[in-house]
Amino acid sequence: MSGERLVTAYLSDLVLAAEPLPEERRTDLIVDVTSHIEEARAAGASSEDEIRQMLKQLGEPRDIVAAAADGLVLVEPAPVAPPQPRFRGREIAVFFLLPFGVYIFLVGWFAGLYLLWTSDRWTGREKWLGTLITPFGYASIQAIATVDTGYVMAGWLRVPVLLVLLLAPLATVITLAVKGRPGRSTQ
Amino acid sequence: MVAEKVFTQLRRGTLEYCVLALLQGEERYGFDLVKELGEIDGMVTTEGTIYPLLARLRREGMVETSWRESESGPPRRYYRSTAEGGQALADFTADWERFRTSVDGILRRGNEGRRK
Repeated sequence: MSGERLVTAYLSDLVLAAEPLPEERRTDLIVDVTSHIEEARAAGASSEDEIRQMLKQLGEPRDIVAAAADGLVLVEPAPVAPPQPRFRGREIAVFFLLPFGVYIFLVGWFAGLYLLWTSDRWTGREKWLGTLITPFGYASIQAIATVDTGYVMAGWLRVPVLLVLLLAPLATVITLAVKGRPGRSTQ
Repeated sequence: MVAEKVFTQLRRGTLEYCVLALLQGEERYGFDLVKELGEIDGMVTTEGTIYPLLARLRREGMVETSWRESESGPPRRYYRSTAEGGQALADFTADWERFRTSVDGILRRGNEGRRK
């Protein structure tokens, strides 16, 4: 590396290291160190070795910046994010509102749907599962069970179908409860 | 050098007064100051850290600065001591002398005791 490139590399290291300093201190420091280097070169440091030696005497950029940061708190330590619980109240509400929300003036189910889709605990796929199995939750199953469906299916089918329908929303809620985790919606 | 750590601390603590001492009745620019301090044995290990020190003395009103053109290179920032800087130096010098005398006295006693 030529002397010129050593100086350029040194100064760009310094600029980078000085980034967290307040504006005025940063500018002062960079101006001072830059003119020091120019003075040293004007005073005769010209060969690559001489320049390397001169920069070595000047010291590591981060040490110089540390001296300039003296008495300052440069970077606020990153606040440690409290660990997120797997489910907050709003997710617990989803477990209740999807199957039963419809009995709360019908809007309960839509509220559950809204909470489901705006939560980050589930992937898009799981959200579709929660939406489609079963629309309006137990209300629709109740409808199927009470309406006479004799003309659609044989009587002997009625019981197993109802059993499946009864278990489906439960299975969905269990799936959502097992899979749900913070940040899953971005996966 | 023995007790390397102690001397690192001593250097750190006395450097700013050495800077003030060099600036009494005389103006100097940064590079010149750095080279002059380099003559003091072991005083400056990282030349670049003098500049933050000078900036702090300026913020504290111990020194004043002015930019001047130079014939040989870039413009230079000249430093000179303020009256406040002179006073701080005088106060430190008095304390330093008292401190040095008592440390010298105790060290002498210790060394005489060792030879007995």
